[in-house]
Amino acid sequence: MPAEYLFAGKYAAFVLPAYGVTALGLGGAIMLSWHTYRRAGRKLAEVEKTNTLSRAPDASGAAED
Amino acid sequence: MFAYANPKRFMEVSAPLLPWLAGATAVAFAAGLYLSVAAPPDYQQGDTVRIMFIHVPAAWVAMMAYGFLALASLIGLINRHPLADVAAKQAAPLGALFTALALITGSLWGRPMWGTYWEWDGRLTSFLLLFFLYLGYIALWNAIENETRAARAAAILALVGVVNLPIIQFSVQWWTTLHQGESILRRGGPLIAAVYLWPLFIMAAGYTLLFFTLLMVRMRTEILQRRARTLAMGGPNAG
Amino acid sequence: MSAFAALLARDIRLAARAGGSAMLALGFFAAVVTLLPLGIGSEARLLASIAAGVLWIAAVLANLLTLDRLFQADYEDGSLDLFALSPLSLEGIAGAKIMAHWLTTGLPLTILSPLLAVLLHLPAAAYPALLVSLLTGTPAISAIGAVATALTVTVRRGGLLLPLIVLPLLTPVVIFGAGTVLASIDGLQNGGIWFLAAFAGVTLPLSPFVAAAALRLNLSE
Repeated sequence: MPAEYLFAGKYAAFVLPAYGVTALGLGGAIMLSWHTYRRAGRKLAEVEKTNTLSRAPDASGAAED
Repeated sequence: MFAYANPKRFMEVSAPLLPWLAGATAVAFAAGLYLSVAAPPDYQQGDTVRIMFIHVPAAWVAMMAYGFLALASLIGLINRHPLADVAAKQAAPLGALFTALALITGSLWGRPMWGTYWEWDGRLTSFLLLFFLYLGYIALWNAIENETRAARAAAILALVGVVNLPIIQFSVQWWTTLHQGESILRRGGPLIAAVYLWPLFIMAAGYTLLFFTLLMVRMRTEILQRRARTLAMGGPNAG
Repeated sequence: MSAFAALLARDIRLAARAGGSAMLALGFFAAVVTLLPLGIGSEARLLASIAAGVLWIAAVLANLLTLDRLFQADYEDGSLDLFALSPLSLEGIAGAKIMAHWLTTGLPLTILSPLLAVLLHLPAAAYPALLVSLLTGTPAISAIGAVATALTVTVRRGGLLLPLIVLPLLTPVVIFGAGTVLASIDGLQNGGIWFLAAFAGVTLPLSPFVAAAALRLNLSE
């Protein structure tokens, strides 16, 4: 792969920013989505844990079920 | 399709699917990027032809996402499927992102080709309006606190938008013929050489796969969040 | 008097009283058109060339300004719930409200527009097109606006959200409306008025139903 292709010749000033913005946008979306996904999973596990802990002794929490 | 409409079922089915979808996306992007860089410069457009490989797929996915959003909205509105509401809600920011990327890369392509970053041409103008349609949809979702209510209202807006989109496009097309100044160089053109078709198609596949991967992750996130919220409020049957 | 006519009369009365939305819209319309030459210069040729667009955009913005109160005031004080209990269907309510909004906003704007067109040096040949296009297009603005306001009726400060939702949907009205006036300056007919009429013809009968669906979901608990 010749280096001049990689640097997109005399139009590099337009080609590289286009790829850069795309990488930033898509990469940002991937990272953000993944991050919130993991956080949501952790939060749910946490809530589930506190729920079972508070319920286990007296079992009144889920009485209406 | 409705067999998977239950959020619980969706979580079960999507969990093993997600790594495969993400893997396929990565492979398509790796191959597409390699071919994009390896393709020879166009004799007319030079290296700017490489912008096509990221611009055109972004535009395709931006439009497809709105179609998906409208379809999910319709299903959510008629069948009252909570999963369809989640799908529509999570598709919108992704659609807006791809629309923005299509606009920015298009502008960076336009500068060397047309001599200007922005041309009020039919397609560019329609895309700018599509971007605003996405923003309005997202804003409406965020403005209404009650979740089911927000979902229905946003669904109605999405359907009004999808009916209006062809009319908007027609009006913009009509308007550009009204104001046609200098003739602009049509980019792409009807004939694209095969060396450019392959990277284009593979990149388009990569973009589409990425859209659905991210959509799946975001839908799962939303369902997990809803579950946590219901659990925290003391409801035993979350999900 | 039928429930429809009663609601129509009530809304018109409310809008037309001193300080009501009708005066507000007219004042805003006039202020935007006056401010414009102060911002971009008073050269007659320049103003004449942009008059059509300015008048149309100012008309759309003036409409937007009054739209957010279309259902919201009645929603907040509970009258909308009372209307919903009346024999008049929600579709009928939406229809009456759209009609009342047009009669108190679109129609006065259209009547005032030739006066403001004089300030902008609009060529004489374009006046009929200006009136006809505003008369055709402003009902469509009220109709689309009613749908958007019905969607945002529960949102406090929905007025900020409204332009973002409505403006992309209104582009055809602005394009065909201003395009018709522009062409008429040169004595041309470009078909814009027919597209505008078709747009209004489709939007007007459909909008009460869509607006009613939006109201229904917002009124139900």
